[in-house]
Amino acid sequence: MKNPTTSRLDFLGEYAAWLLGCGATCIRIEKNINRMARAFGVDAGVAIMPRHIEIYARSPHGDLALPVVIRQAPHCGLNFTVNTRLSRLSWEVADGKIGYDEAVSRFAEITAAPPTPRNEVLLLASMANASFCRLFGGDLTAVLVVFVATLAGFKLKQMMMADRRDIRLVFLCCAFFSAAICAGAHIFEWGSTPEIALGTSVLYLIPGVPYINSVSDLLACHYLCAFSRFVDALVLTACLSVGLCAGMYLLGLRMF
Amino acid sequence: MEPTLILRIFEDGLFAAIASIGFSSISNTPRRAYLCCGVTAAVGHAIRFILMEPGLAGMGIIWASTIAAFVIGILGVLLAPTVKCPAEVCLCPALLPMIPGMYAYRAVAATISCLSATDEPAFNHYLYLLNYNGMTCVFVIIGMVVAVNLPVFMMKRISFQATR
Amino acid sequence: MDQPMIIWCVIMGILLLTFVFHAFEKLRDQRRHSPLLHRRHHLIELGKEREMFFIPGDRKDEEYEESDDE
Repeated sequence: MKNPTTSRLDFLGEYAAWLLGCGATCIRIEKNINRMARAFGVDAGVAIMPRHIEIYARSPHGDLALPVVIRQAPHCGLNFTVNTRLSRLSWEVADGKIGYDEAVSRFAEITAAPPTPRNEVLLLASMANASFCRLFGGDLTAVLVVFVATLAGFKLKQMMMADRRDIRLVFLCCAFFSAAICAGAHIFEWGSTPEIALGTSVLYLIPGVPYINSVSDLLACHYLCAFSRFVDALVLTACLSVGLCAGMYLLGLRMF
Repeated sequence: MEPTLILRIFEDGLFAAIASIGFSSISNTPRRAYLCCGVTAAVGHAIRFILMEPGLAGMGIIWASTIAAFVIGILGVLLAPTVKCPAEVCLCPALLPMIPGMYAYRAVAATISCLSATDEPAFNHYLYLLNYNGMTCVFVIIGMVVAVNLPVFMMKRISFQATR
Repeated sequence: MDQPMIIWCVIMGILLLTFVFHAFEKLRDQRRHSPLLHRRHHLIELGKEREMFFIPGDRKDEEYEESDDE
């Protein structure tokens, strides 16, 4: 039979690992964990590693040796819905609205919730990139070409991610094909702004949220996490640039 | 202000809103936050447009993005409790249309060109492009995130209790 | 037709073929009753650590997969 404090620490470990996995900033993880630990009556703290979470605690009278819980962040991808619901869960626990058992079942429910439907994301992302092209001053033809290029590239990304391919390879391939489709505007002389279409073609792949989170962590003095998130984003950016350059090189176009 | 300029500012905001909602859907943003993200992104991007327009304020991209992000921060923190989401769920998607993606991949492409340059002037030119694009990208992001976080910490009570 | 046009058409052909092939594979998987029994074999795939460090006598069960393998 587990000590009740130990099982609470286990829960906090799982919770923090999920928060880290779904792309919450370090400051949010710390705040949520402290809030819940206080409600559970545990004097706990959290150490955040780039891909792992450590939860440590002191027993109230100092008479009990409590274990350190270490958990690996799940590969669930960025998910603001999970982030929101987990944050709300922490407030419900802190305000005493729900107890430990209820919190555990709520947590299981939140982590099992399905993500946004794939086709909805596909369509919205394509529209987003097309409107990006318009923001940069592309004409209607360029907007349409970028829409098709994003649709094809993003579909390829979803397919390859579902096949559990390496994420760097996925970014490289998607950038290559999206850029190649948009390069068609140059080659066949569609519209008057083919260079804008080509420049915007791969922007849907730029990992914006990791870049933002990295600087947020930097401001909160979590330099290790900040650096790791920045490098993650940089590697993906490099992969997509290589894909883009390869596509342009094959089709005889020059970037500069 | 002439009507075409107002129309262009409005258009800028509209497309930024679509871009923000679309890119945020990739990171599984809750549907009820879409409108909030769209409005914040539209206002922020339109402000950046006004600040960068040569006839109006004519600022550089770094300062314009920083000021726009500060406004986004204030709006996001105020709107987050109405949709019951943490402040960053509203703020991140609103910042996404302003992420200098083109500068980011141009910096990497300049590195590749640098490696394949055969003579000194070409090498120096690509090195200049790498530094220019890379530094602009890094400082735009730092400026934006610092500015967007200021209101979060100035209004701590609202921003960290939005999901309460 | 000059060279870039031909290359462009070839790239588009490859992309289209990928989509068609994938749709076909998906259809075939749906028809099979238990997709778990027939693990899909890719023509080219990245190896897993476990396959590299395999020593005869190790456990060989198919369900066993490293958690760090993305």
